[in-house]
Amino acid sequence: MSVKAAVMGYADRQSVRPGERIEFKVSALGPETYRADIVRLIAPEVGLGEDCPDFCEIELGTDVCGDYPTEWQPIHPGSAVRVPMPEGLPLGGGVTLSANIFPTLASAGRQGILGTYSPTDDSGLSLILEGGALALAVGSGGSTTIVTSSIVPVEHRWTAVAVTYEPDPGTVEFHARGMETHRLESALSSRERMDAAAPGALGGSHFHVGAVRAVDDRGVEHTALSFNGRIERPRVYARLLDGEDISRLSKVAGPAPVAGAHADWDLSIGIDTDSVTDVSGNGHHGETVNLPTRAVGGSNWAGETDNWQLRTEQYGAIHFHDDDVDDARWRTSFTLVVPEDWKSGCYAARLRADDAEFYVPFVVRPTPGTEADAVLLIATATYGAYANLRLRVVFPWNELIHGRLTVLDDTDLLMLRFPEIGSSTYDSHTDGSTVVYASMRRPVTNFRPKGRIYKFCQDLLLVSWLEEDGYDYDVITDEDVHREGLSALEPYRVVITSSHPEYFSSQMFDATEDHVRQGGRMMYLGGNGWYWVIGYHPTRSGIVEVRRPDAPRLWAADVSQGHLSFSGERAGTWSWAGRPPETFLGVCFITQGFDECSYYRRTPASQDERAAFIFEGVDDELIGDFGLLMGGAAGYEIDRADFLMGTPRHALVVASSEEHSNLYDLMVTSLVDTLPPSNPDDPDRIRADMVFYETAGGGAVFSVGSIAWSGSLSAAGYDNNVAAVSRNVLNRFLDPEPFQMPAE
Amino acid sequence: MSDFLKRPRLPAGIDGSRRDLWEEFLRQPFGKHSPDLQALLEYMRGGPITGKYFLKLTGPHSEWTLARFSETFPLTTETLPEHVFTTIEDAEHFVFRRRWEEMFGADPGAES
Repeated sequence: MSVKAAVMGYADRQSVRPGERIEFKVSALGPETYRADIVRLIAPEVGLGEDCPDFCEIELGTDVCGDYPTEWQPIHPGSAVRVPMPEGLPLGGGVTLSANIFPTLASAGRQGILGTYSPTDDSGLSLILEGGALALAVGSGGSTTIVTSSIVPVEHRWTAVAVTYEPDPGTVEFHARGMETHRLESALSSRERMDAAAPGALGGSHFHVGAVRAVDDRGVEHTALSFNGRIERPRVYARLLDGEDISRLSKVAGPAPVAGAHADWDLSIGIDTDSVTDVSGNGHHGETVNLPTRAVGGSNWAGETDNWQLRTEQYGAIHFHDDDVDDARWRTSFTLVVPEDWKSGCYAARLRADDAEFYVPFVVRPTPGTEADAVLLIATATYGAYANLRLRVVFPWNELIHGRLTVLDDTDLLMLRFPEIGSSTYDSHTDGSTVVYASMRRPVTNFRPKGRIYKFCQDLLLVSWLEEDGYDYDVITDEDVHREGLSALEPYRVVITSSHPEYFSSQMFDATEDHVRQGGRMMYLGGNGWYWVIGYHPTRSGIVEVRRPDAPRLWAADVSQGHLSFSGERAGTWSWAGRPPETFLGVCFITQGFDECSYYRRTPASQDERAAFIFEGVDDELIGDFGLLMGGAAGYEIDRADFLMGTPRHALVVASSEEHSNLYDLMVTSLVDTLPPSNPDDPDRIRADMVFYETAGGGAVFSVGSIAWSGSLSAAGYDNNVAAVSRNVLNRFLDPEPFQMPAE
Repeated sequence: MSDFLKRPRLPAGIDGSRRDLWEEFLRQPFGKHSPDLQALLEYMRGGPITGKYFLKLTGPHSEWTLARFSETFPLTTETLPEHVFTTIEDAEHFVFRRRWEEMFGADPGAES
């Protein structure tokens, strides 16, 4: 039977300038060759209705377009700490391995805790879990012996474990002691000796914590037999420690409890890095692989703070997962050097193998000095947080909270066929813990111009409007603004947001706000913007971190995780971090519903002369009572002005939506809003507010507070009141004439 | 992911005799619904992922084919090519009728 064709890919970056290189990594199954083309994306695939723009991509002739031999490049998920140890473990006088462990998925089979064992060549020696029990894997060059104890460390409890090993005659002794003696339950305390069980371990050139080393049939080194759970203070002694010494090894802070360690990794050092430090003095430093979760509480976490920077010594654990993947680590299939004459815009590598198709989008920025006056800020931070949103496929309540049957296509279902491509920050790991890091350095199924009309696919509706109306515009990404700050925005008079710019780093927040403060104009044509605090990996692009200490239980991190590991910043929503989005956008996300969208009704404030330019030529009272996204411009996710939370005092709420469906009442964050108002004359609190205000520097902000807005632009051939309002605002915002703050 | 959220209960008084709920859904599958129809929809839609219906997009937002998740984990999917729809509303009506029949033993749309 032939293999069903599949093709997937990713790029080494999402943003590139003319003259720069972008590398594409592709893996395919099925036919002998796959086809690659580079296209410029003008309009997304949104359907065949008369209000839908036709899908539009322009094929560009480049030397990378063509047929390539099909090659399957595997992904090896599973995180670990990897330490070069070319001399192997010092076994001459026996060896002791120890760590504190907090297993979270004992049923996951064989799991490496620490050591040099490799199943690829049956070499080395590692302490492992075998069906939940402590065991020792001993490779003798031609075969592996697994010596399994009867000691089963308890799931979701800290246990100090150790093993001693004498290669001649192969004696193994396991030790385990429960560390959570304050609990009202019995604590594990066990010691088990097995004589002549596994003589003669050999070799092993790399030490791994949280997995073992393997090499695939292409010669690529990777992690295998990943541990699920936390590991703290792994240590190696080049001698046999006695029971009394071993009982002291669980101590994690302060000087070493037993002198003379061969290696002693203090995992609380370098939490904001990929580095792991050996404090034994022997220089066995290592690095993390596939981004295990750092900045998590250890066995001594005492609940005094959720900030790892204040009690770093209580954050000496790393949480490993067998499905962590920060980078597929595929070899480059082809490299595009962006021609100098390419216009700034949205582009993609389009990959096809038989009937399988996959897009790898990227943005081309302008050559410095040639910028347009307006820039579309493509929300790559949000795309990253949502990358491979598995929840939308497998979450049982998906249909319920959307009020519609779930619609999936072949690309969505790649997540079931190839689960190794990993998850989003809305998903759980196999052990049930929350995913906090997400990467674009792997195939991403929901970053494309087709499929669900949401995120990038929907943002191309803004592109199609700008193209249709003939505006001169550039495109840049969130990560460009994060890395470069205000200087990325300074060439522009107007910043137009994506439809759903939900995830913002402090650098992005500062840059966009400073831009407006000094005279720039912000057109927030979306909803649920500037909502969650994210961090970008300090050195590697395309990797974001999200933790949600203030979220409903669904996505909650455990209570020790109040701060990001990448930056140390307070995690959660921007409101939780003391910087409500209302202070800048005038509005903040309140609720969502994906069954039906509504419309805005103009308010008396829309007659204010300050707002006259917004509604020039628009006589309608209702705005956006049409649209290809479920029938209206107000919906999906909506934001409301709130002067108590910081909407600028002089902001005008020029229109508000109304009559949202029942589903908008279901969002937990807005539960209080759905209660009947104490004053029946008060407006419905479930609404999107359209807001405008000026800044002292001559700048201005216009916010629609609704993701669905861009779905109404194309109605009636772009001749409608949503397009008219958008055009009016953009035209005025492009005018260099400074805005004036109203008198108090 | 486990089905850790409980399926909503079906309130008393909602049974196979309530053809008015089918007629309401036929008129308006999306948007504001009566409390009883909303409760029925939450029950129908709130079931486990295993065996659940979904729509496979088989044309560019213009054709949808009925599909189902497997009854066991790890999840796989099966498309039901005999049920192809050209509007989402038609698909919603079809699945509503199927679920109603599974719950109450008769097809509410049989005569319509």
